[in-house]
Amino acid sequence: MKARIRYFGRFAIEIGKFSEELEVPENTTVREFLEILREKYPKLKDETIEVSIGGKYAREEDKIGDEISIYPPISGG
Amino acid sequence: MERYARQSDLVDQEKLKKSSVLIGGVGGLGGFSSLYLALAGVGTLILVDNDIVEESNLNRQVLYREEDIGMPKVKIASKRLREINPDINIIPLQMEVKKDMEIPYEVDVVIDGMDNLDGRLSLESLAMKRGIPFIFGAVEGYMGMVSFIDNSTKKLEDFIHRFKSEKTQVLGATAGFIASIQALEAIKYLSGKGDLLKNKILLYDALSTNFLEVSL
Repeated sequence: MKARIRYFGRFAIEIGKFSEELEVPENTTVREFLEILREKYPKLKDETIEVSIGGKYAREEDKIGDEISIYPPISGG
Repeated sequence: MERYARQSDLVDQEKLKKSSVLIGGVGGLGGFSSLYLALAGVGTLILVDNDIVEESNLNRQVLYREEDIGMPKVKIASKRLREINPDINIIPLQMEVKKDMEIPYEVDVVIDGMDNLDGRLSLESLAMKRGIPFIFGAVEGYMGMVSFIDNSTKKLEDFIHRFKSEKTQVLGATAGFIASIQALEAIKYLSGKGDLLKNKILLYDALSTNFLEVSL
């Protein structure tokens, strides 16, 4: 399945792009997807990553969809 | 009152005048949100912060000047906000934001101006115990996020994972736009106008010029 990934905040800076399309196996869970992503981008290895699938907050056990957004938890003020 | 003539159709000015908003942290976010709420004529602003003004605050903390370095933030913020709107009541509380802090005043809304997750969780807990809303906001770099939390919605713990937090880079403009949305949420809530960011995170990344709305 082709998924469009959008990267936000420091993740976009670390990866060097704001979005891309990736081929991902059907029925992949968020946890598995993050493993794929961390493998592809070692800079994300130690990052805590928040995920939204089709505009909905996703948990690790949720299945991914074709629109994925990746953003960091932040706490500055 | 002539001061509010250009917003008289937009808000319930009497309700705003009778309202009390607690701002936890008057740094980057809290400086801007307190400024907008003072301009709008919110009757009482309670400012809670234990910090003093430092030189490194001056790139983004709109209420402070070079001559304020070394002074308590709540003292200077109160002075500046009173200059901006002498009609409102400002209560400065120089103390650390803690879950069990005593706030012996009526509060209608709590606004997040913290720079760390634990402080935010304390403010959220204080607001939920009092049965009032907590307007979450956070910034980092060119990115920020906002959400309206109350007893009926998801809480911070439901959508922010614990993470290794470091001192981050922040622009004044980033803090300003997020604080502006927080102030708007408070003004709408207090005036009974429009929709609120309940069970939603609104995120904006200025670098990519992308908004993201995440439903919770």
